[in-house]
Amino acid sequence: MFNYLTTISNLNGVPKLSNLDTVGEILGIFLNVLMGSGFAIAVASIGYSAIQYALSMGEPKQVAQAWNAFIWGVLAAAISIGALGIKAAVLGAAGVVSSDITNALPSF
Amino acid sequence: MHYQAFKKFTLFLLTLTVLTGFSVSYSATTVAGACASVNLDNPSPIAIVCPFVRLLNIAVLSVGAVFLGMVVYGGIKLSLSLGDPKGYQGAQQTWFWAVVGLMVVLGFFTILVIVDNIFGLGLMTNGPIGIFDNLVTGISDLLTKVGIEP
Repeated sequence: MFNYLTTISNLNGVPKLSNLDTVGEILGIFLNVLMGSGFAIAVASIGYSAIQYALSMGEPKQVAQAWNAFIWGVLAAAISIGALGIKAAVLGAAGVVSSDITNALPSF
Repeated sequence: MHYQAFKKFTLFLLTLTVLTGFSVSYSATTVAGACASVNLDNPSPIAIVCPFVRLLNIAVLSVGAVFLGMVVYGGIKLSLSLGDPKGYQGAQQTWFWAVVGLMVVLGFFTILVIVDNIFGLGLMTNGPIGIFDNLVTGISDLLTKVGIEP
C-alpha cells in the first residue's frame, strides 16, 4: 500500500513471509497494511456518515451523530496519512536526533 | 456484545498469524561488542546475555514504528466509532498511551545520557543502539577479571 516505508523483499511480486529477514521488514509490511487499512476504513466511515445523515430525516440526535462520524472520519483519514508527520513532530519536540529512532523503520 | 466478540476473534487471528506465519531470523539485528564474537558451537557464559541484548535492541529501537502503528490504530478505532462518543474516548486513550509509551522510552534515553555524562561510563559512544552492547562488553571484562573466560 505505502511502499515508501521500506524496500520489502520480493517487492515486484507478492511479499512472502519467508523472504522477510529483518524486524524492519516485518514492521514495514505491518505498517503499510495498517496505514492503508486505516485510510480505507476512514474513507468508508465518511461515506457511511453521509448515509447516516440522509437516513436521520432531520432528527437532531441522529444528525449530530452523523456529523460526528463525518468529522472523526476526516480526522482519522488525516491521521492515517499524516502518522509519520505526527511522529516527526513528537520526536522533534523532544529534541531526538538519532537516526535509529527518527527513521520510519528500525534499520535491523 | 457482538462487537467485543469480533474484536477478540480478530485479535486471536492476528496473534495466530504472527505466531505461525513469521519465520524470521534475527541475525540481522545489530549487535557489536562482546556479543559479535560469541561462538555458539562453544558457548561462553556471556552468550546467555546476548539474546536479551538483541531483544532489548529490537524492543527499544522499534518504539518509533510501534508508535506509528498505535496512532493509526487509534484512527481506525475513531473511524469505526461512527459518531459514538465512547469510540472517540477509546481512540483518545489509544493516542494518549502511545505518546506516553514513546515518552517513557525517550525518558529512558534521557536518564541514561545524564548518568553517562555524570559518571563518564561511555555507554552512548556508539549511539542508542550501542548501549546494551557496551553493557555486555563491561560484563565480559568483569568476567575476565574474576577469572572466567567469557
